[in-house]
Amino acid sequence: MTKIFIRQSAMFILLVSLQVCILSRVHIFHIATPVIYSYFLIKLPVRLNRNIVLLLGMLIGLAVDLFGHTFGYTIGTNMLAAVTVAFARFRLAGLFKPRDVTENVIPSFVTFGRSMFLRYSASVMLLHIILLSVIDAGASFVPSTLFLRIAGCFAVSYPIMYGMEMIYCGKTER
Amino acid sequence: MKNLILFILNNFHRLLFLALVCLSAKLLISNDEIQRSRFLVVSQEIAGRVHAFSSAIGSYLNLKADNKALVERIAVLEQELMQYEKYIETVNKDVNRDKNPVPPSVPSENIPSWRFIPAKLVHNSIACTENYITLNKGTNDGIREDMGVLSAEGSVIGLVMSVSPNFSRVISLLNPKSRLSCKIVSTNFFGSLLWDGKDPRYSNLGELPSHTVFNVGDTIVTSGYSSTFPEGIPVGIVTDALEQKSSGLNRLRIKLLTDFSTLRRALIVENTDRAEQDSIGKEVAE
Repeated sequence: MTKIFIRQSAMFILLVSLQVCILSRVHIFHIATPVIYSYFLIKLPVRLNRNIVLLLGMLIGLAVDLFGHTFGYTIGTNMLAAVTVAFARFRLAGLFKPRDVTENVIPSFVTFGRSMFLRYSASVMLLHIILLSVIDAGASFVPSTLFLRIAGCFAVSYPIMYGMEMIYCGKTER
Repeated sequence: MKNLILFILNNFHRLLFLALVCLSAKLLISNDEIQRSRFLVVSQEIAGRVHAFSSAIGSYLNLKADNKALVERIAVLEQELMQYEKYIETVNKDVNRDKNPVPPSVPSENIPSWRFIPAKLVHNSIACTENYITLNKGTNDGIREDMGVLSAEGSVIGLVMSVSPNFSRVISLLNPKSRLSCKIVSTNFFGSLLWDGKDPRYSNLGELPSHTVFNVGDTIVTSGYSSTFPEGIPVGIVTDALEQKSSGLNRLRIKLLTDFSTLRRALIVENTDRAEQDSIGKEVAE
């Protein structure tokens, strides 16, 4: 239990730092920005108390907003998106979790199976990116630009998440 | 009570989600101008529609009183129309028709630059410290910010503050943030009308010089010094003089002619020459 707590805390700090310090400055073709901190919500235990998941979602969104405020994030944008994803996470995990898995496992290639985990993580990440893009669009809601932005952000974020999951699985196997 | 507690416990995560969404939305709206203005327009539109629906039910029950007031107003306007027609007839008789025929209509230079757009109140408040009114006309009807608003009887109500496509929010005279330039009709001394937040029937006319000449019962009208209201729109009646301040300015207690508690209909005032007036004002200021 303590090990999981320490690992999750380290992941929280790492993802927020990565997002705020490096990834928020990356703008591919002025549209796509990698958004990977939803990986923290993806890797929470499937049966973790939903209230705790909501609070953790709020914390990570707020942390990104507060520390990334100088890089253009409006306080509240990431928090709103992360809270909504945290609320939807339970249902999404239930959809993609293998039926024979009954314990409180942490979703990964090993516990969910490669294809199920990829679908689960893709759906959570896509939902997060859609919410973030729509909230950020605000008054300047142009459907074509929005679609390009969602597709671009997902295209650059998902490979990074896949790489992180490969590293995570390699370390846990050891 | 037990059922309520059970409901809260069973749905605690949903309630927590709603609370966190509200908190996030509040932070977002507070920290972003674009989101705030978008939120204000949308919320005004939604609130306006809800108030319009409830007002429609209420106004149906008050049709008899509305009809009576409208008939009385028609009578007053018919009277004025007859007076104008009589005046034109008199002018025509005095002019040599062969040389300078006067068309049987108001001369073009007398065509007013003011347009009046009728509207209906869908929401009103008089008991708050800051009171606002919502009207059922918006940008789709040509309403813009800073347009003046009159009652159906022709006395001042307030100023349009914000507009959405179908509704507009008016800052009432019963709002300490509202200031109206007014003058005493008999002596032309002018000051600023400001509500003190106490009685919705009375307001104060301040910033008058110490040598102001007035009588109890004098009528207060709009001064015409702003591009929002024409000159001479009735506002109230002087009832009392408040104690003179050490700054040397007088304050008068004014009984407002508008009964805000029974307002149902309004007239939104459009100054068709406003753009020109405002641009000249800016040039002089620069």
